[in-house]
Order: sequence, then structure tokens, then C-alpha cells
Amino acid sequence: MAFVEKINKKLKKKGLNVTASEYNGAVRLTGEADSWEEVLEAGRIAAHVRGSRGVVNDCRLKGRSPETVRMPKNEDKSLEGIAPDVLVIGGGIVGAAITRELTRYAVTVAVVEKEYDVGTAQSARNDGMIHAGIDLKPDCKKVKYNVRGNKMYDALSKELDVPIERPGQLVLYTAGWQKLIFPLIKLRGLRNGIPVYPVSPRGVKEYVREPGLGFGGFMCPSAGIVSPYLMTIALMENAAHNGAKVYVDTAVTGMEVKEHKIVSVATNRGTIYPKAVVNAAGVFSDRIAEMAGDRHFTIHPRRGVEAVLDQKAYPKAKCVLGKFVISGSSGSGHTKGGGVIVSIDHNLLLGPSAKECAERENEATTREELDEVFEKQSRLAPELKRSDIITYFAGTRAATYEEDFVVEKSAVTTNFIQAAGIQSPGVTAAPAIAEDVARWAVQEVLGELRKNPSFDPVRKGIPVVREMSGETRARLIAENPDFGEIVCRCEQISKGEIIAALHTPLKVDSVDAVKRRVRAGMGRCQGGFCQPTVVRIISEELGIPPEQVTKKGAGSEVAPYPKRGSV
Amino acid sequence: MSEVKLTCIVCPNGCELVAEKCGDGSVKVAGNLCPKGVKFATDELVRPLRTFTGTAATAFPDFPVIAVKTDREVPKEEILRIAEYVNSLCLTKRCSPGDVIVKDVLGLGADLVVTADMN
Amino acid sequence: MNYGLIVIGGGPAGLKAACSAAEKGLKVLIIEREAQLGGILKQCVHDGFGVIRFGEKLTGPEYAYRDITEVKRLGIECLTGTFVTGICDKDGGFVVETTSAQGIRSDFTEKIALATGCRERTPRQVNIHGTRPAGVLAAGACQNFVNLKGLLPGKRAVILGSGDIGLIMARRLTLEGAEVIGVYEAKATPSGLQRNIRQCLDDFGIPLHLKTTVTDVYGDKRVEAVRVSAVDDSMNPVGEGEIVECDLLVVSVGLIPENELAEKLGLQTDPATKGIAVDQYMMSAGKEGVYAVGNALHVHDLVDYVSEGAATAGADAANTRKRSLVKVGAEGLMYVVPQYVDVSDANEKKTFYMRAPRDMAVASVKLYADGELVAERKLKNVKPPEMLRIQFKFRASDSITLRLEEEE
Repeated sequence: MAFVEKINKKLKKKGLNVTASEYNGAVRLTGEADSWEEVLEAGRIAAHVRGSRGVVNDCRLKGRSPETVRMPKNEDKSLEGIAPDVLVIGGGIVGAAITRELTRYAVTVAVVEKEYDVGTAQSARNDGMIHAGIDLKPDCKKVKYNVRGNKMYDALSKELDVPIERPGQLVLYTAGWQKLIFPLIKLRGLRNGIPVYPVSPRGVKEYVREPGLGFGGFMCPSAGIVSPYLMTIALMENAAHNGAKVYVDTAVTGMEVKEHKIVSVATNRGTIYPKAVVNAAGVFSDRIAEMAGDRHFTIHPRRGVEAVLDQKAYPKAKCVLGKFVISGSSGSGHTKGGGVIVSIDHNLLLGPSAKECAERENEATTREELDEVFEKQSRLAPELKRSDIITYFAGTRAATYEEDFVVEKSAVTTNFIQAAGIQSPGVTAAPAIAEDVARWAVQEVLGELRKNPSFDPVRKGIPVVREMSGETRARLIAENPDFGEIVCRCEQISKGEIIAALHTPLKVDSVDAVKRRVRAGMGRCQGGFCQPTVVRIISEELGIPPEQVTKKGAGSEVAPYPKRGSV
Repeated sequence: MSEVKLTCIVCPNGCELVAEKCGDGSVKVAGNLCPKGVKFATDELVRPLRTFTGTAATAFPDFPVIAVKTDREVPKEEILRIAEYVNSLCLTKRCSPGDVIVKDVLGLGADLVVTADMN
Repeated sequence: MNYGLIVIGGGPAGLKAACSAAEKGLKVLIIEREAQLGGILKQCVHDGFGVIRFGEKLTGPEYAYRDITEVKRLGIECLTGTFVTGICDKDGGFVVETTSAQGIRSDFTEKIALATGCRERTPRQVNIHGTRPAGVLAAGACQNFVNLKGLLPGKRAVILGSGDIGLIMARRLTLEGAEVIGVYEAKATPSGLQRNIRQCLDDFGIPLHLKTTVTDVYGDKRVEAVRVSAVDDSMNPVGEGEIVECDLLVVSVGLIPENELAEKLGLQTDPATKGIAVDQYMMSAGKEGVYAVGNALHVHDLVDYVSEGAATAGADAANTRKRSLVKVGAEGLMYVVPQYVDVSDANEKKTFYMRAPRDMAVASVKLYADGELVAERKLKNVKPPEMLRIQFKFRASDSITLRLEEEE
């Protein structure tokens, strides 16, 4: 293969102790690198050479033991022998959108998620932007699915009772000359179907109370915001309502593939026998691809840190703010540079940063990263203060060396479909990706696209008392007094909302799962006041002893040692 | 005997005391704003006393535990032993502040009383 | 319904303000968001409360019980489990909207007392990084679990912050059978009262590490360890620090008055106290008829002074004053409450609450009225954690300044 030679030459020139070879139509890199940066560099070099299906980077980092995967603590045989038509691996927003889409058809669907709840990784650890997509390279899968997905969000929001807003994204120039590029941006917008218009330096003031950059910019009015985890939950709840089986705490441990066909999928809860398998496994999607016999890409995790600001700072920005970045080919060129996000919950978010890291599940924040995020993004709105930050979080993006999504029916394993390597703008793209993936899967199983006649697209959300008129609130409390009792004082969340969250179609039995559904504990006191009460409500409502109530699944008991004297 | 520096814990003044045990067994105290400081320092050098406060388990789900204390000071070195004992109790009767639940705890001369209201 | 005074918050400040207003004949309503009256005192099972006010050492629940008994005796109306959702001006008074299991309700009141207490600074507000497992708790939340729910959140605890609640929890956790490895404090001096260090740490041999902080948390589902590190004078960590294995991190790093309702009324907070600015009767300088009492006004060291200030406010609620406010200058002090004095008031006795910026062995507080030194108080062993409370009798018309000076 020509690309192998070319890549080897380039690797040698860089002095890397890495060798390229052909593997599954892709290029496989092996060898030992001294630093993670070298591993990445080898991968990037290989990705630059055309002709292969992708980069399988098996370079080892010297002295590093194989990465351990966070696995569920439970082991049983409760799923042994089940045989859904389609098995979706991964309960993030992509897996959730696909699962729901599959329930539109006459197939049976199961989804497995290794964490204690759906939407806890990238789908919870991101800023919830519904991207316009103006910054994406034309002709890549990212832009295609982004633009399509963006347009689907209004209908999705109505059907699933998940609020979205379209405040638009204002991209600010960092130098006066940059406005000369606007015609090119406009052209790119036209080509990709993304509306965009210029904003004068004076016009910026309408969007930022105190602008930090005075050169004007351009507005992408189709940019929106959504709670990414609430959307994931809503998609999955609706899928469950339409018959999909959702199994959390369930990890795929292996697959049996015979004659290019997946026969069975092993999990910690027994072996599953699906007719088709969808890979929506996020940062582990290359591992799943390997099990299925069609690995032609590699996930190299890219961390992002985001700061959450007190709602009191919300009036300081009126739309999403970003800084104009001219994309380069370096690692940082693959991010949108982050910005100030006006979140759907009326917190401002600052970030995300972008830093390559070797660990796929490294969700720890560092002081340096937070400092960097604040320094960088607060320049867009200098009124923002460090003390506005109430919390911060980190996540890892499932980046591939090709820096594009892998959305395809496998060319190697006949009953395998991939929605892999989905990083930003994955939230935006998910509904569009789901349409294609579901069709391919159904076609594989049924040989046709037969619909499920009883599919119900509507999901009703949990009532949000803080947003109700007095009259509606009074009526609701009269029906159910629990909606009158406020538990989370910062966010004004009632006991009724918390109880409702515990009785939704998915398994909800932890403090954080409640928090993602109704926001109890997301305010400025960060659960200091309400956490003990939330624990008590979970205990009473689900009939589990209070000491067994967890923060985020088995092993994370909040207060595990009860005092029980004897009479 | 040398001087000992103490912080009086009797009242919020938190006087910084300097106490010294004299040959005749009496204690000389300086730095106190009131006579309570003398008693505190003397006790502290001879036999330090503390009030035990804590909680006891109950049989009532609305009050899994209830606040309790000893109604007078007890020797400091007995506090952990009292804690261990109290942690083994479980109340089966609803109480109000002042109700005695254990008389003469561990024979130390103090009663264990409830300090919160369950009624 | 119409009231003379609505008190928002049924903790020690609210209870006392309500009682003293009711004694003056006002029709009073107490609104409490929790199911029971008593506020944070409910979970303060330790003693030391009430030495000044009652001359005896009470536990938190006992102290609250006395005020609650008085509230009942005076027949004051109380709404528990009731949350204020809205508050606005109307016809020279206020409309207070609430929600509870009984429904929503709207009441009119001539005057209002904000007694909403304070909340804790969170681990994230002091820049703790790493993972987010179970077992990282604010000291107050930990106290709630242990003292009210009967649940021990861990058996090997590290405490960050030497605030009083942190010190108290060090002792509580020890008595509940947990091992407290140490208390870490980023500042060079403890944040809590000296007597609490003696009786909560020293009594049990718990070490206090000054100029040291917790920087990172480790562990996936539950805390497995924390990294502690020495800090420089600007409180930035220096060096690698060391790993301390634990299953519980209790964070006691300061309290912030809760002023969301004051903000709804358009009142600004004093950046020094984080509460609203008031006159000597705890009435808002910015708005007639609004009082702030207890830790919602400024964080107190002793509940006795909370009750004292609240009594002043409650009694004043029955009066009508035509105010003439003069700002109180504060020199060499972290803050002074009240921030204003109504100089038209006939009563010459005024109580000031203040905090020193640093430790001083000997100091004096000087009061200047209309440019002249009118009073001076000598103080010993001044420490920032211990609030200074000084009463002065004086008259002034244009200017008042309090100055704290260290003496040799």
C-alpha cells in the first residue's frame, strides 16, 4: 500500500520510533513512544496521508500500563440469552437518539450503558451548544450532520418537552482586519446552509453588557442551547416508552464474531444475542469496533474543562460568545476555541478548554486548566469575576485522528453499524446521525424499513414549578401537595419534582441522577442544604435504607454508616 | 512546677490563662476576667471536666437520632467511653428537652438528658 | 392576610425578632422553609449557646426550644414548610408570596424582617480540584447527616478549614467513632474560636495544620485520598504536597449571608459583610421597613448576639421613625454593622458589631462623632474570628467613624 510507505518515511524523518503497517484497510502504528505527545504526533502524521480508512494507533507509551476501564460493580446473569433485533452500545446522546429512532420501526431494541445512568460522560460534560456549524470544514461528516441536526432540534424540543433556546452565537474578531474575511465566511455559510450576518463594533454591545473585544464580529442566529443531559434522558425515556429496553450498569466485555457477523455480545450481566449491533460507545468506540472486527480509527481523548457561573452573572451576556479562530492543523485547531455560553438553565458557562490526555475517563479538573479557561474566556466579557464561578467540570471528547465522525454501516462486519468518534458537535449532530444509523440497522434486520405503527413521539417532562404561573402552580399543588414543598432552595425545586424524577421510565436511584433531571443541588450552594433531604426522599420513595443511597451508583454511598443502637 | 497556658472554654470570652500548680496543691491563675477562670484552670490541672454532647438513635423514622447531653460535667477522659455507650442506645419513647433517658451514666454521677424536642 | 411584620426565617434570629415585635403588639407571621422551627440550631447538638443571654451553656436545640416556646406563648402565627417565592413593594408595605404543601399564598405586611441565615462556601469556591466522588461534604451538610439523619458519611476524615463548624465536626465525628486525621487551614491563623480548638481538637489529639490546604480529591465513586499542600502568603499551593488517604473530606471554609430576597427588593449588599447595609435598628439603609437580622445580615460568632440584634429589630418594627442616616466610617476594621446610624433617633445608646482584620494583643476602638473623639474602648486579645461588640452612648449629626488601632 502506497500510504504505508509514505507514512513510514514521514515517521522516520520525525525520528519517531514508530512503524506503520496496513491493517483492515487502515494504517496501524506500532512502536513505543517516550511521551503522549509523540503518540499523538505519529497519529496525526498518519492521518495526513490520504488513501487509508483511518489511523489505528497502537503505539505504546513507555512505562504506561494498559488503561483500566471503569466497570460496573455488579455481575449477574439477568440479561443472559436475550435476543433483541438491535443492540445499541452506549447510552449517551448519540446512543439515546439512535435508540429512540429505532423504536419508530418494527424492531426490538436494547441499549446497554456501563455507567449507572444514561448521559453521564460527554453528554453531561459539555456546554449544550446546538452549533450553527460555521466553523466546520465543508464536506466532512461533522458539518453534514451538524446542519441537519441543528434544524431537527425545534421539533425534538416540542416532542420531548425539553426546552431549547436560540440566542445565536456571536463570533468576535480579535483584530480589526478580520472583518475583511467576512465575505468568505458568508460564502461558507451559503455552501453549508448556515445563516450568518455581520455585527458592527457598536452592535456588539447589544449582546455583551461590557464587551472585551471591540472589533465587531458576526452572528450565527441558528446557534442554540439545550441541556445535553436532559435531552439524552428525554430521548431515552421516550425510547423506553416505545418499548426499548434500557440497561444501565451493563458493560460489554467481548463479542463473538463469525464469518464477519456478530453472533453474540458478552456483558457483565450475561450474553446477548442481537441481530444487529450499533456502536455508540463514545470514548470507547474504538474498543467496541475492535471487538466487532472492524477497527479503523483510534480515539485519542481530548479533555475539556468548563466553569459554571452563578445565575446572578447571567445578564452579562445575551448570546453565546466566541472568539474568531483561524483553524490550523495543530491539536488546538480542532476546537472551536470555546467561549461564553448562555446555558438553558441561565448559568453562564466558560469554556471548554481542549487538552490531549492519555486517559479516556480522566474527568478530574486541575487548577491550571480552570485558571486557563477563566483567563481566556473572561476576556470576551471582562465584567465576569472569578467569584462568579460556582462549580466546574471536565470531560473527555472522543476525538479520532481524522477529526471526523465515523458514521457508517461496517464494510467488514455485516451486522455492525458505527456512530463512533463523535465529539463536538455531537449533541447537535446526534438526531441526524440517529436517522441514518437507525435506517441502516433496520434494513439489516428486516430487509425493509417497516414502521412501528404504535410509535409515540411524545414525552412529557417533569413539571417545573419555578417556571409556572401562580394559578398553574396552585392547581398542581392542590392535586399533589408535594409540588408545594421546596427542597432545593437555590433552584426552587419541589419534593414533587424529585419524586417524579424517581418514577420516570429509566432507573433513577441516585443523588446525581436526580440532579440531572430536576436540578436539585445545581445552584449556588451545590447541594449543601438539600442533599440530606434528597437522600431521605430517595430512601423513602424507593424503599431503600438511607445509608444505601448513592451519589452516583453502587460504591458511592453518600453516608454509608447508620447509627443504630439497641433498645 | 512550670506554668501551663490554657484557653478558658467556660464562656465566649475565651480568656487566655496562665496557670501554675503550687507546692501546696493549690493553683495560681492569671489572665482570667472572672472567677470561673480560676475554677476552670484548677480543674484543668487537677481533673479536667467536660460536658458530653451527642446524639442517640431512636426507633422513630422522623427522628432517626436525637440530641442528648450529660446534665453536668464529667471527667474528660471518660468522654469517649460515654460516647461509645450512648452510641449503643436506642430510644423507644418520644422525648422533650430535659427528659432524662439514662440516670447516672456509667456511674459518673451525671444523667443523660435529651436536648431536642421530638413532640 | 395583613401583618405588621412578616419574618422570613424561623431560626434564632427570626424567632427573636418575631417575639419582640409581638410583645410590642404587632401582628406577626413567621415563614420557615423547613418543616420545623429552629433553623441551623436544630443540628448544633453541641453546647456553648446562651452563656451571655441566659447565663448557662445550652445546646443548639435547647436554645431554639426556649425561643420556640416563647413564640408559642405569644401565639405568633408560623408557616413551616413554606418557601418565599416572591416579594415586592406595595402601598408602602410588601407583598410576600409563598408556596407550601397547602398551596400558594400571598400576604401583605407593613414591614419585613429577613432572617434567612447563611450558606456555606462550597469546596469549588476554594478551588478544590480532582474528581467528584461521594464523601466530599460541606461541614453543615455533614453535620445534618450525622446529627439529624443519624448517618455517618465516613470513618476516616480530613477536615479543610478551621471554621467553627469544621472544628465542631472534628469532635462530633470522633465521638461517632470516626478517625479525624487532621484539620487543614490555608490561613496562618485559625478561623474558628480558640476555645473550640482547645475543646474540639486538642482534647482529642487532632492535629491542626496551618498554612496548608487541600488541593485535589482522588477516587472515583467515593473519596479515596486527598492531596494536601503548603501554601504561600497569597494562599497558592507550593510544592507537590502529600497524599492523605481518607474516605471523607469535610469542608468548612466560610459562610455567606443568604440575600436572594434582599436582591429581589433591589437592595445592594455590603461587599464586606455580604449582607445588606442597615441602621442601628437593623433596618435597611436602602429601604424603609426592611430589616435584616442574624447571619443574613452578617455572620456572627455567637447566637446570643444574633438574638440581641434581632430583638432590636423586632422592637423597632412597631415604631415609625423619620430617619436621617449618616454613614459609619470604618477604619482599620474588616467591617462594622450597622453601616449607618439614624442620627435623628433620641436613644443615644448604640451597639456596634465589628471584626478585626488580624490578631492584635492590645488594641483600642475609637469613636469619632462630628470629627471629635467621643469614646474609646480598650481591647485585649483581638482575633478576627471573634466578633467585637461595643456599645457607645453618643450623639452625632454629620459624621461617625470607628477606628481600630493596635497598641504596643
